[in-house]
Amino acid sequence: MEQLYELIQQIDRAKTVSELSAYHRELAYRLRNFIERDTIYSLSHTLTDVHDALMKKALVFAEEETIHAAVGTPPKKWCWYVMGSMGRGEPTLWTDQDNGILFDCAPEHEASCYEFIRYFATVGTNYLHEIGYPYCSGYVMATNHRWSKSLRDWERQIETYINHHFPDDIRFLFIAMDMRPIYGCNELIVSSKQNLIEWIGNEPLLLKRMGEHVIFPHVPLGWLGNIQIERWGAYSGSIHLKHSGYVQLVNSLKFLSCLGNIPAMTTLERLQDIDARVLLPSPLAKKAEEAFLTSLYFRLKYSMELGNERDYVPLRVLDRKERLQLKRAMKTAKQLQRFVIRRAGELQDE
Amino acid sequence: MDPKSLAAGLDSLWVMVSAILVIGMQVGFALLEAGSTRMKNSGHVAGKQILSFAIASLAFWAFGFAITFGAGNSFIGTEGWFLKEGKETFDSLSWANVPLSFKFLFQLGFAGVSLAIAWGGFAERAKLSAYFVFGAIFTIAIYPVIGHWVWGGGWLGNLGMQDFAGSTVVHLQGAIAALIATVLLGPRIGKFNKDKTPNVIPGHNQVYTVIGGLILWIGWFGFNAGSTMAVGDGFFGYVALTTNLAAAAGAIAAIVTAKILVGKADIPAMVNGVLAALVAITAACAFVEPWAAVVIGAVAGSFTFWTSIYFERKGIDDPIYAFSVHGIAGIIGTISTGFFASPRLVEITGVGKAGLVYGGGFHQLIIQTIGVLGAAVYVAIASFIVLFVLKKTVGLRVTAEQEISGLDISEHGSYGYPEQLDPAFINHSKTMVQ
Repeated sequence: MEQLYELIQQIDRAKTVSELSAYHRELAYRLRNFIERDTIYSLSHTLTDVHDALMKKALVFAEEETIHAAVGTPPKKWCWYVMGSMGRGEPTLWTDQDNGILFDCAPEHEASCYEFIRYFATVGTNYLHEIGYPYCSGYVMATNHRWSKSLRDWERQIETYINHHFPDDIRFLFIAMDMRPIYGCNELIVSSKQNLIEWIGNEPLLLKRMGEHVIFPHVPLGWLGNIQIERWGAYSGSIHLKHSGYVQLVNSLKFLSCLGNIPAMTTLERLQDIDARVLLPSPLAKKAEEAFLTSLYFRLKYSMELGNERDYVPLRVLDRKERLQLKRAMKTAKQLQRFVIRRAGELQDE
Repeated sequence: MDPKSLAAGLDSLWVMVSAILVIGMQVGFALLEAGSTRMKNSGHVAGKQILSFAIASLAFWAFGFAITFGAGNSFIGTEGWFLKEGKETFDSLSWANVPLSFKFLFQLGFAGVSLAIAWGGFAERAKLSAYFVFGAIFTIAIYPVIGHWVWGGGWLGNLGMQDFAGSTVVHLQGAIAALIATVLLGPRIGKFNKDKTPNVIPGHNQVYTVIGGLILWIGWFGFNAGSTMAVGDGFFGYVALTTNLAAAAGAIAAIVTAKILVGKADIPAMVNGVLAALVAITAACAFVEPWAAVVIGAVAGSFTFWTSIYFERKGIDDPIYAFSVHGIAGIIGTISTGFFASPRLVEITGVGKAGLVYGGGFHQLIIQTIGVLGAAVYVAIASFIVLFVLKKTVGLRVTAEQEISGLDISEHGSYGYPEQLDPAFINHSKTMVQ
């Protein structure tokens, strides 16, 4: 692990974006020695620290360029935040971008601040792409107006998600629940996230919809305990690791966090708080922890081995022991999904 | 009218109704195949069903029926060309108390179905000329030979092979020809990636596929129950019962298998499950008890879904899974009587012996296996020779450009769906809207 912390120091001293790009590749090389199932959680933390260091440094360069370009007015307070697996502190090696910016300023300066933020977002996301964080295919990025807003507009938007029943609202709320500050005024994001969890927790109908949303995607595990692989296309014969238990576990626990008004960052922290508040039967909580660590291990291990192939892993490359581990994790994810659906169903009556 | 004449008249009427049901299965195949293939080939795929049945009708009338049922040796019939009836010419069908014209029409329906199955392997890339030549040769020199072996007084029939309505004679034959064709033609453009992983080429109309499957299910009552060619003893009702039970079990087994294996309650898989079960019960429908019909249907419906995935992974592009649905299921059905033929029903039909489950030993199982192997080898070799020669002479496959344009426009000069595909009509529709 020492080697990884040395890398963080080197990143802090970097002078150019291309140096950062080299350090990202170096990270892949150094990480190879540390992938162990038993220490995966601490490794995940360390990896998050390295990614954070890379991203922060890239954003320092982006901020400098934005100020130099003299576009708009820098807001009084602003913060670049990340979401998705980076937001939860459990990234893979080649994670893509899920980010946004929130800012606070006087209403009369808002238009000018938006100019600054949009320029900053463009430069920042380009730099991140350059150093090895691909643009998000779902466009969950700071360059998307949905994710870069003044606090006033952000709160109005969240209110819309909560009160209007559009199909994508639930998906956006689930994404927003992973907000984590990475560069700038952390307090903006911490309080926004705290508010978000509270608002959701006070809306039984919304919670019910979120619970129902957790059933998707279906865990690709057949009734006979067989792993369902991709039938057609370039990934025929492969499994999609993210959808093979991981995302179902994460979303189920996010839902239970809303029920318990838990603003925790990582999935394991969420699980611990859920367990402490007895929102989940203790044996299932224990199994969920095991399953989550297994999913995390597979995602990290194969994100390194397969590089750009990302989440798709040919089933044949998993040995017998790994298949059994994965099946167990998938079974737990299914159990947890069923628990959440039952729990969401009860909300109707409350 | 005396009771004997009345019975004969009813038998004839039943055979005619059955013939219409079996010939009506061409409608089912037209919809099933057209729905399971792309819009740009739909007119061709559906239309070739008429061409196919027309070729089969003439070729079977002139030569095929004589080779199948005419007096001859253990391998082929050598009398009865153009339905010319002598005193003992069609003795192999003398058990049916109906005039020859009814027997011919009914049996023509079978030959037409076998040929329709073979076309599954040609779909979306074969030249129209291949349909003419292979259709005629299949109906004269391939289908009738196996028909004669089993039903026409040939060596397999003499051994006591049980194939009541043709799991091997009709379905396995068509399927083997389809397999040889699909291998010699090669996969459709875009079916496989460079690393040999398969892509999905979805059919353009799942509703057609479903309606086609339902029409075939109904037609199968003529196919199996009609094969009794008599109504007097009511046995046709029993055959219809086992047929229906198997089909139902096949549908449920297939959709459950699809859900287990790939996580989706796949509709085309369910349709193919029904067909696979019907194919399997075709041999066994008169020999097995209802519970066994359910087992046979379920095994066929389930297993053929798996084989359709397996063959695709092995690089075989069988566009409508003809080999799995008709070939593998045909094998399952034929072999099944070696296990499940019940003594009671064997006595009624008077063919072969009871199966392994009823203490009949391996005797019937071995005969059934010999029958499957004998038929498969002959059809494979004969189909390969015909198709290989065609490939090397007139060519089997359209050009890449024709395939990409679609067979509707390249082989027939007009689209099945002009408003969707023909630029002239697309523009015209837009103008009309404005």
